[in-house]
Amino acid sequence: MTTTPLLEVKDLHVEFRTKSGVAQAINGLNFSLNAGETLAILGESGSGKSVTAQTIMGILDMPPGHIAGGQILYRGEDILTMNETKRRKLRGVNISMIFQDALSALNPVLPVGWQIAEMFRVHRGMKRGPAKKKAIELMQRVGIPGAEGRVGDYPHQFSGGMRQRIMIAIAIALDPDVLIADEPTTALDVTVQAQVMRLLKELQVENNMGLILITHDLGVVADVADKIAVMYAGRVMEAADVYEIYAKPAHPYTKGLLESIPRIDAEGDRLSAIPGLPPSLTDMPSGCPFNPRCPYATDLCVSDRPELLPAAEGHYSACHYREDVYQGTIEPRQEAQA
Amino acid sequence: MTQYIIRRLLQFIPVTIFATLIVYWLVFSMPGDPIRALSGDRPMPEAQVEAIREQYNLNDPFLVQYAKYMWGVFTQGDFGTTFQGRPVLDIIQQTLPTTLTLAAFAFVFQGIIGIIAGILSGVYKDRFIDRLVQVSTVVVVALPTLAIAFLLQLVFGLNLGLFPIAGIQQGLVSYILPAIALGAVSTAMIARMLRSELIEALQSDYVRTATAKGLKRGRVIGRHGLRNSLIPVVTFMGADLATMMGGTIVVESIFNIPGLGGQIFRSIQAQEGTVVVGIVTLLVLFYVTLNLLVDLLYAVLDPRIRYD
Repeated sequence: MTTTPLLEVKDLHVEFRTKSGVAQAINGLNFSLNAGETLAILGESGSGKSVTAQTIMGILDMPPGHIAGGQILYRGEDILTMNETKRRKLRGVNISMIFQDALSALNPVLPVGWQIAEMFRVHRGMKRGPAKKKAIELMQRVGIPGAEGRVGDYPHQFSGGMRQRIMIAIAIALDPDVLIADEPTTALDVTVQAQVMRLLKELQVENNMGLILITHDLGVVADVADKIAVMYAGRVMEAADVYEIYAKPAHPYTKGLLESIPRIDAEGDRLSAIPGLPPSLTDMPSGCPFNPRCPYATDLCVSDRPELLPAAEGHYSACHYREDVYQGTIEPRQEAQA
Repeated sequence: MTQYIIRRLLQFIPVTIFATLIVYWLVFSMPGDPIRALSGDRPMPEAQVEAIREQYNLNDPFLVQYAKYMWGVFTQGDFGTTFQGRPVLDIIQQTLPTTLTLAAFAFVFQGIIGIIAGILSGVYKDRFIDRLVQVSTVVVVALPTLAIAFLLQLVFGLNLGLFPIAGIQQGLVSYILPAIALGAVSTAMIARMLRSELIEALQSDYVRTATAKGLKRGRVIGRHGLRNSLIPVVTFMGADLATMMGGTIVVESIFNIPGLGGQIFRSIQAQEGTVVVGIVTLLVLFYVTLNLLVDLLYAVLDPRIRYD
């Protein structure tokens, strides 16, 4: 395969320079995304997944944020070295984003129709009337009942799910190639979550978009993702196809995450959790960042940082014992704390 | 909405009664006898004093005097007459336009300068321009209006000779220095208020969304950031317009402007109770009306606010 991926992140480093020290939010991140593909970036809070999204969008607060190295290639062109005007013209047009909390992400004092129409007016130079018509079409497309009568309504007059649909309408207005969804369903009721995810999936197929789904929810991932990248302490710990990861995790962190999902058939068992907390970004442990919490950690894990290498065909893991974890032939070297 | 307005209008009644009652009471408890003072050094015949007292209802109990006066104001628009027999309404009609002109100048000044300073300060937070605005606004707020007025007269009037320092003989240009003095403190307040509102707005999620939509920085700030930040500023300016009428007392006296404020000052000195009460009653009505308008404006500017 020699085709250029739609979006490729290469050895990205992002830090936050604050008075109390430098926090390394992203430490050598690599992934790629093709058209029509869904990549789920999975991780707990502080793992750097939202910073990744903001860096790609170019909406990271700088300072304190600082891109310390790496490339983000959109169709082979590095967007980090582009001039601001060129970069801005990609934003919302070619690469767009959906935020977690639509209530705060939508402007509270502007009608939703206006906020959607703004995309057409600014980027397509459309007049007020036609842009409004487009906005109504989009509202219908994302499943807002009675769209025509609701273009003039304000965000607070909609339910959570409807608000997220409006957010989606803004994001897909100009048929972007890449859509980044940062925890798009976290703030929603479970029933509404499924509807919104289905809508995203439909739109993706329709427009052949590359979708980056940022989430901490393993349930959401299993349904919609093609590939998963598991992030921890600003690095990808494991990357593979969704079925691979669920069936045969090749990293102890992923294994721990999967084991911490409550299962209805595992009656009576205590829910297992990964002991300890993620490392402080200002004070990374040496070697593998997961070693203080890892049941399989050895001296090698403290001294050497493992690279992201294949454990099997198309299945990458940043663990010294990737093959053993993958095969399930590894035993815990220390008892996990209760 | 209509119900809300009616309810607010009904609130006018107790507010107006209470405020005017206090003023009425204060004015008529001032020491000295204005009637005897009318005749200067020569004593007035007792019968004549008595006649004047009767004419102005001064022999009635306090509350009856008050009631008679208010009845006149609200049923006949009769704000009373001075001891020289000049209708108070006449004085108001003569001085009000001058004061409104002054207030309008001050309002425009504080709107333009305050908002520009606030935007610069908020957008360029912690930069030189922000520090400049921060320091100068503290100085302005800390200085009494009196000091600001004298400073303006000294620097721009006497030393530089740019503007007239007293009276209104030279037309609209005469209003510039008094308007700056009148609006200075509010200008500083507006700048500081807008600065903090804007800084908060620029860090908000919806401004981040606006950036993610690929809008130019100017549009992000103007259409999304400022739109929200200006709501409290606009309502402050509305309410402040009413407060400004009180500020004219000091400023009109210093700049010798024949307006409502200066008139109150002179009337207090001359113990012309009816004039003071008449003007203050008018100001109270002005204040409550303006406050209602500001609250209604708030609902127009912020769709989340409903008065049902």
